[in-house]
Amino acid sequence: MTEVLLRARAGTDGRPASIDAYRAVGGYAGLARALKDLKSDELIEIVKQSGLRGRGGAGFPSGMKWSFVPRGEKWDGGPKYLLCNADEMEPGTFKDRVLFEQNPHALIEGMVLAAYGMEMTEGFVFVRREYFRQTDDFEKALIEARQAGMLGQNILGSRFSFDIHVHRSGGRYICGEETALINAFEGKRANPRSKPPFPATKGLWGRPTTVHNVETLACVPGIAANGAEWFKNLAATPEGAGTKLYGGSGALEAPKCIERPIGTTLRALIDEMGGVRGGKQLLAVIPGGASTPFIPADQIDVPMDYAALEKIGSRLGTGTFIVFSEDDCPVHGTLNMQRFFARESCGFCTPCRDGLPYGVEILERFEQGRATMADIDLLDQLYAFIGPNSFCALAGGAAEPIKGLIRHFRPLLEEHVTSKGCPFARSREAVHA
Amino acid sequence: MTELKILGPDQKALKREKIVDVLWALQKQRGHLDDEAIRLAAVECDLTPQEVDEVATFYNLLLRRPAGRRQIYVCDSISCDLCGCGKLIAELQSQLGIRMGEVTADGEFGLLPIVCLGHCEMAPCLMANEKIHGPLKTDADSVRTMIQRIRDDRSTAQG
Amino acid sequence: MPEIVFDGKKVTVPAGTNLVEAGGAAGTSVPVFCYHKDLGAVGACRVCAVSIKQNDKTRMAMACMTEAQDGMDVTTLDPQSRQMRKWVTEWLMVNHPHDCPICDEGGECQLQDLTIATEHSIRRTELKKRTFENQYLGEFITHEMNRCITCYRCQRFYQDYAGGRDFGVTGSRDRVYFGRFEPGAFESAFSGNLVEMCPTGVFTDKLFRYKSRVWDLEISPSICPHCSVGCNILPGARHRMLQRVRARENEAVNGVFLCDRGQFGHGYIMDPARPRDLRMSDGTTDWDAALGVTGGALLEIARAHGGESVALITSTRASVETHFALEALASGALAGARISHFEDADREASALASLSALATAGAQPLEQSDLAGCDVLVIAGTSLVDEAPLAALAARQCARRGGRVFVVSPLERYLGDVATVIPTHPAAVAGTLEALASGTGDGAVAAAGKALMGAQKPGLLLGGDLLDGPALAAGAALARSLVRSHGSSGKPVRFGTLFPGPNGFGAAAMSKDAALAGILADLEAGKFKAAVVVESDAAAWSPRARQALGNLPLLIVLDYLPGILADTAQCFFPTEATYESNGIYVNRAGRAQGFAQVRVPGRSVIEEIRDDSFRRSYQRTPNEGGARMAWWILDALRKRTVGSPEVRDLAGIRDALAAARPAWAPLRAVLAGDEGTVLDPAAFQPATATTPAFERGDGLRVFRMDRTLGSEVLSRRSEPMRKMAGTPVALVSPGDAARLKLGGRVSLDAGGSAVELECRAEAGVPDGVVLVPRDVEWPILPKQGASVRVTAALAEAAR
Repeated sequence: MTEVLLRARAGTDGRPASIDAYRAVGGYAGLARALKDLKSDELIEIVKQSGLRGRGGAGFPSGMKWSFVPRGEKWDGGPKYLLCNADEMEPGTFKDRVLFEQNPHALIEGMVLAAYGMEMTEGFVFVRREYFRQTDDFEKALIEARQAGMLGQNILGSRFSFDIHVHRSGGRYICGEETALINAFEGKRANPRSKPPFPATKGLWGRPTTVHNVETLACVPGIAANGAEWFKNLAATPEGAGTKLYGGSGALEAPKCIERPIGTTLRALIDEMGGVRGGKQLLAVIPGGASTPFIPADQIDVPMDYAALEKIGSRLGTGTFIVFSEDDCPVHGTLNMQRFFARESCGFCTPCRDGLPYGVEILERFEQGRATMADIDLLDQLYAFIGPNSFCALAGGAAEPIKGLIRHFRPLLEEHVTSKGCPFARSREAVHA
Repeated sequence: MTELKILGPDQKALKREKIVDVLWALQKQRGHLDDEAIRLAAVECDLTPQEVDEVATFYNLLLRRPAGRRQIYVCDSISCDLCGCGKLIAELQSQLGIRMGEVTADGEFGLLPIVCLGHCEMAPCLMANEKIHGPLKTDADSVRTMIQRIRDDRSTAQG
Repeated sequence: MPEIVFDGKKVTVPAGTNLVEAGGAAGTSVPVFCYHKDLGAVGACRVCAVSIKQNDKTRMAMACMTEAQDGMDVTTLDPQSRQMRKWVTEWLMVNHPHDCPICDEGGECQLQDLTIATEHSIRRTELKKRTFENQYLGEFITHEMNRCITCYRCQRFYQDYAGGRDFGVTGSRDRVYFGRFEPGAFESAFSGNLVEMCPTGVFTDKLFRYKSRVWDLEISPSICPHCSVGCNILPGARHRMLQRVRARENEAVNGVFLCDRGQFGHGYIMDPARPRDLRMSDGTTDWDAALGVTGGALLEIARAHGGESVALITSTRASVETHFALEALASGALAGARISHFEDADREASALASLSALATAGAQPLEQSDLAGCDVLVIAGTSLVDEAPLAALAARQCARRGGRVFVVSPLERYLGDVATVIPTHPAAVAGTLEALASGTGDGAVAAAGKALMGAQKPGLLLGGDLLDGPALAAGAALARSLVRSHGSSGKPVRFGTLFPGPNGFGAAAMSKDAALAGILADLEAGKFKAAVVVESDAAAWSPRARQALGNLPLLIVLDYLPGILADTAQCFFPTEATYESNGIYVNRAGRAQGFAQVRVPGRSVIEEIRDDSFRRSYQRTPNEGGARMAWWILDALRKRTVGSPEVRDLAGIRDALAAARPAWAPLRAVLAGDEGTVLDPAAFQPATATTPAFERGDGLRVFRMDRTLGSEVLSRRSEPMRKMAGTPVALVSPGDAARLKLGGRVSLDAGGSAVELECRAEAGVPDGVVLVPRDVEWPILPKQGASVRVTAALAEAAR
């Protein structure tokens, strides 16, 4: 099994891999190579060729993102910032935390490389405050890296200088949206900003900024060390690139986070996690956090990769999937997720702020046995207008599970109407008694 | 080996960037962010109390009302829901004698919902004393034991 | 210039135009809540969704966030857009309380407009409505947060546009709250604009609360009389009461904004102390008879003692027509009568000097809209937000658009966060302006000078209150030198000054000389036998001059304010206030603007009814009083003295003015409600006036100045204004405060004329200066810059 991101692991003391442990398995070799042999343009080109796509949910090609930042003659020489988005709050998602706990130097090396490629001056890690211990440990890793000359002035004796600072958030899902994250970072309310201007030209403190997910950045050292082809070949499918931190939670026998070639099938991943809890039948899976549509049980042979999931009407998202067994009601689960989205709306735009609570109320009618058949269409219509017409992607994400619910579980919604309530209510009680 | 100085923004911007940390420190001292805490943070960050409050009222972990000496944040998002957080919450409410969002009569515990804590393999889980507890059993005895464990933890007690 | 089709109509718009504005150009008013042309587009409300067909693809987008591009086919009429508007309405109505019957916004509420347009009538959700607690926000604005639709306009105006930091947005999700950290009065001088900014009824005019439905108001275009900016307004009256004032859009002047003084300062109109009745010492009550008696008495004195025995005085709050009618009285037997168009000799001299400076500088006028458009703007000799609040708001926009703003003044309490403030003793302003012109000086002065020289669109705005003669001369010289340096390369140099009152420019242009000081001296000396004082105030006169009024054989007073003049007059004629009359004011930049009668003056119907009945129909003309426009009364007196035929109407008096003084001919084209006409100051060949230099010397010098609320002569009679203004406070430098242990209540003694008031140290005030609000009443008004002794007040010392 090829583990790249997690090639160095936490020790028996529970502390993350030290810089020595990381270097022992080839860590910081990519950085050394890049600083010695590669110009920033060449590094960007390699990242482009590698096919690396954002692991935070949107899946934007990383090399392209790097190329948007003004460099060379287009750069005025002022500060440019690299922001690492470690505000992991997507329900069902815990992969970035695992990377922090196991192998923080992969992130540090990735950030230095990204900064080198984009000729950036400063890096920041925006992390949710709930990751108390992980962040403390990460700050220790930063000190290790500085002491080893991997961070700070003249990295590895080169002319390149760069440092990383940590910003702990007050906890709010919307901070994961890149422009909201920038506002939050500046100490303002975390409302998203309008684009354009894009962060690449006008981001943090009005300066060129790139925001990357933790896992995305941690992929870069391997690419820098071994090249684009090597990275592409890591994937389980010809069209994929790299490995992926797959997390599984919900009705699983052994929920956990594992690194596997991207494109590994959902079935294989579920099997690796001990199958469905209590040997029950699988009903459905949400493949990549609460902002991705349901996949019914008969489609779990799908490779967990961007294109394959889009082909069946779903999305890879964060790649951390949530399993529903035959005892778990997708309507109830959807209601839970909609409550989350409504609660975490920043309150800026109307569809999200006032439309999402409306959706919650409709779903409550189903759960409480007050819904009519017309409410299914009302729900459908409501989210059809909320999703695409909101200011940022939060409400669009909220519409995704609704889309999947209505597509795959319309009969179940109807059953909620005819049986005046949730047919799973009793089994849920039994499971969690 | 010292950190590089942050380049670019002025001192005012850097003071503002610290606002959540300043509020967090005040909250740890005072239990919650009362109006006086907002005023103190305003002085510290070169802002008006209104400007501080705009941020202070935005975040889940910043408490503008008393919420007990220790907050028990129970994750109620989807992975924990699939693993019985409903039962966990019911048991906590019953044993503490309060509902979500309330504070126990002795002022010891505030019971608060929180969104996904990012520990879904440990569902159902909760956060107390800046630590994650999970996966939790939801039977009465286990919940009682866990409450006691939180009560006995002296590492991060507030105010 | 992209060409697009909007709702079937082809239209070409400038590049960068968003689709809301493009729709407007094509005749479609795209519904908006959060979008506002002055606050910009933020895309929060999502009601302006339109369908755009481009390159064979159709998409929905927010009109405010989308720039028109060549070939776009945009529509608001397709089912998707209609459905989206219905949804937005439904979402917004989830929490809106449906309290339209008692909401003051009703009838001009954008939310009402949208619910009607989308035929929203059924609530399909059972969500409980969220409720908020409201805050006390001062005497001007009522807070009703349950009505909020979260468009963020209030916060964007208050914080971003107007620079306020005590009001904003807290909370999140569907519990976003717009308010203050604590209940209390707004700190901003521009809070009243929240009423206009809010598309629904969260912020409403407290003075107007429960007074009328807006569609019942009698409304006419008018001009704000509370400073020289000349904001365009729409006063509304009903039940013979002036009930509210609202901004009227004029891009060249106030845009859509007002200051709180202008919006809420109208209490003087319904003031119970207002003299409403004709009052003749011989008991005459009939207007015609009274005019006859008065004219006869005036004629008799003039014949007996000559025209020069008559003093004619008006002020900067009188209309151009009134100024001219007063001047026209000085003919025939009254030829040689002494005339002043000002009530304050110092301000007369400085206004004349200002006009002369404008006339000779050769620069372009610096209007409100020009302030915002300058790339370098120097403001000198004024605390702008106190003297002309809307000018300060415009100067802030200059900075927000990237212009560099420099303030040379002893006090700047509004622009400090966006401007470079050069704290300057009033006596040193001249020196600083000279340094700007010569490129000398150091630090901020050097920077300002350099910026001006390199400016593409430089502007210079001089104040009135805190500017002495040498500073005005230095400012004019600076303007001239900029014209020389920039004019050849075609860069316009803009130069403006402030004037006292709403018609200070007009009064100065009408003046032949600075006459008041001489008139008052002769009044004290008993050289006059008669005086006609029109809408003027004696507060700035010496006690002996005031005393002399009582000894005049004939004092004729025309006014709508109470005061010593009205009380002393043998012949008192009540006049109509601005909102009750027709006329023209000339604003500080020379823009002549007409105002039209909104209401017939009189006691309100409500007072007459004396019960709570709500009458939809009522007698429009009052039973008592019968106030007239001042110019009409003067013209009637002229007929009875000079004997010339009456003019009878506004057009007539403007024709007469144009005939007598051709420079005023453009006024004949001015109509109330139009954008006004800019007059060229050079056309008036203004009189020169010498204004003294302020001295620095040892010890403290006192300077009177306006404050935003509470000092201006009309608005300070308004009860809520008095409450909001609070008691006047003298400001000194922190250094002087520490050195002289000042603070708390102090006594100020300027050569025997003493007052007691609160004193406070204010950062930025230079040493040696005591700044005292103009509304402080002195036994004898000290000269600007007079030496003053400051001591702890007796009560304070005893403590």
